Amino acid sequence: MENMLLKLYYSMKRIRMVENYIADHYNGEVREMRTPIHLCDGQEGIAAGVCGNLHRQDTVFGNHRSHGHYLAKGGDLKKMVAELHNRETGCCRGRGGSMHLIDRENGVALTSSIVAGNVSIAVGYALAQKMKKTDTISVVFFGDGASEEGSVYESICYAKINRLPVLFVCENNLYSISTPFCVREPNADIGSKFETILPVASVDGNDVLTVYEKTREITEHIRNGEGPWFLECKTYRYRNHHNTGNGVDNRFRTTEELDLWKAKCPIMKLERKLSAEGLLENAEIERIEDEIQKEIEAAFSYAKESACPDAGTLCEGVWS
Amino acid sequence: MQKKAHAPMPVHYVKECGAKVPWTRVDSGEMLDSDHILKDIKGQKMTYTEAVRNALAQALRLDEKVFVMGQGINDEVGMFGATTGLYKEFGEDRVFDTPLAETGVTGVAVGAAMGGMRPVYCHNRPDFLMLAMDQLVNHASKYNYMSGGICPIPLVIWAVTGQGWGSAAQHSQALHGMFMHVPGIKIIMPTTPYDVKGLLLQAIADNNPVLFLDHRRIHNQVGSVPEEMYTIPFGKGVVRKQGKDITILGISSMALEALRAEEALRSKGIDAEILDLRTIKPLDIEMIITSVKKTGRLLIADTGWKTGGISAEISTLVYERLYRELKAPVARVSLPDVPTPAAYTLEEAYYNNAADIVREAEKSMRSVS
Repeated sequence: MENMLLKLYYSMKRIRMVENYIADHYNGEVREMRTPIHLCDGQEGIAAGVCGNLHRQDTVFGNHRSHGHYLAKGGDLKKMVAELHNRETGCCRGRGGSMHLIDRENGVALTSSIVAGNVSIAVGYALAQKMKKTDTISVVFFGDGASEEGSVYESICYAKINRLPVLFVCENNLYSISTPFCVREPNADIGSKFETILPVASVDGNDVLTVYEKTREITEHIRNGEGPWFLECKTYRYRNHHNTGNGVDNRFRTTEELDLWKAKCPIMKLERKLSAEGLLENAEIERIEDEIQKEIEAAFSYAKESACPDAGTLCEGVWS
Repeated sequence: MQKKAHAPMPVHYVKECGAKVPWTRVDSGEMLDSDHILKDIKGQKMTYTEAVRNALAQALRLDEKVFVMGQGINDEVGMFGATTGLYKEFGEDRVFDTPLAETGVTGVAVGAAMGGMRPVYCHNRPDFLMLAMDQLVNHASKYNYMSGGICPIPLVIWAVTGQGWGSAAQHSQALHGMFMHVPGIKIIMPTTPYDVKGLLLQAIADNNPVLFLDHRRIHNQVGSVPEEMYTIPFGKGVVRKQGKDITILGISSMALEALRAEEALRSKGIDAEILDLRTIKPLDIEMIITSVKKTGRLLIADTGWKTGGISAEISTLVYERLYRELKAPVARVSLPDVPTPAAYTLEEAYYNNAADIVREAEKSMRSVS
């Protein structure tokens, strides 16, 4: 367990530092990352806690805000950063951009910027795994915004009636871009919309240990062939829907609200616990930060040294 | 790992059978024999939908990755008779009924294809595909390109365009022109029992999303269909009848109307060349160009709307290459910019048939460049 706590800490810390590094370099004088970025800092506990229970062969499906899902599942950082830089060496050869990431070897299915579309695709992927008699599971991450889409309901029903090995993870960060739940749906309790169909758990997404332990319990049920589960994780993003600002310049989000959630930072929370239990010394934190920093810098160098796709390859890949 | 899952079918699966295809005579509504002209296709005589069933059964038998899904396909009569009893032979894990939920279930099919299977998803009418547009246009057609070529979606979606008996605006739309607009989706529109088996097997073997759009009015044909598995390559139309005066290009059921029109035109001394496009994406533009170079005239007979449709696209492609060689403007027999009406008096005014093709062909023949 001690080892697992440190792994979760490392996973979250790495996502946070990658997102911050991207933010620091996104709006520079030379804008090398020409792709709409949707950063996930503040929400790292969910990606780390859920993916901490997954095997390499399990597959995750993400959305427009999936840097964290990709990294937590084991996606190649260099290829992700190269993709953000529109390079041929990117995970999608520069055809996907920040919102479309893939690493099939490590179980990251293509992420989708049309939210909710990935939910039914994850169900179909699970159907294929069941037909092929593999023991892997599909996990799909989607937001509170996507939960409004009818196809999520359709997909959940389909998974349940066919007892498919799928975990639906709803990252409820309270806002669909900048629109709060209260003006979108009559029932703000997302889990309750689905609890007549499948087992639902609702947890504090900013507590990585809770997310991890609940997911461990749920994935055991799913792997036992008991059918799908729905896990709602309440959280908050520290930034704008898109770009690098802090998102308090809109009508509903306030500085007070942001500060409240920053005080509930999932990384700080675990760091305090680990320090109090004597499992993490300051020197170790510095060593971890230094190691991650070097990895990120190497990834950015790799991206910048890589070539952009040749214009002559424009038409490649429309057909398989 | 994934590449292996999408390995090509065995060689015998992709073998083209015979150089020619049956010349099919049709008189809509009646069951007609397609073998009275062409003698070299040997096989069992069957209807168009029996040929679909034959192809599905063979694909299911050959490849355990293939499965067939759709609302009502395990009903006693199956989907137009084309899926009847398949579940008894292959089990309900591989041939199964689905809820309506077209958006979600299409996503399920896309995800299964991504996961290494080869789903065939059946719909009664293309009108229902409008509920699945997100998955077709935003997902299935994009994933291979968007992933840099490592995420193929080998998916077949079958839908049957309706016509007549007051089917009206929401049960008779021919939407191929709309789908043709989107990169990343192949579209086949077979018209004979022989063609539908070969094209459907090719569609199942293909690693891309394929829309198989046929027409209720062609389901009644019978013709000889070889028992062995064979495929007909995409992007290859067929010359149904050679002629020198005017090229008539038929799409789906209008290819059969074109054959009827040809007989009438012959009696008026007009020697028409009849082309059946068979697949509209990829499009066999070379066949059209070769024919129009010979005849100097082109009439396109389509089951869809004129505005922004396939007849507009093909006209432009022909004008781009043969502007100076045309003896008359390209003629189009297609639907007016109106939703399909229910009343039969209005249906008659709305739909085209062989007589409309004859009229427009004669008009084209009167044009002098």
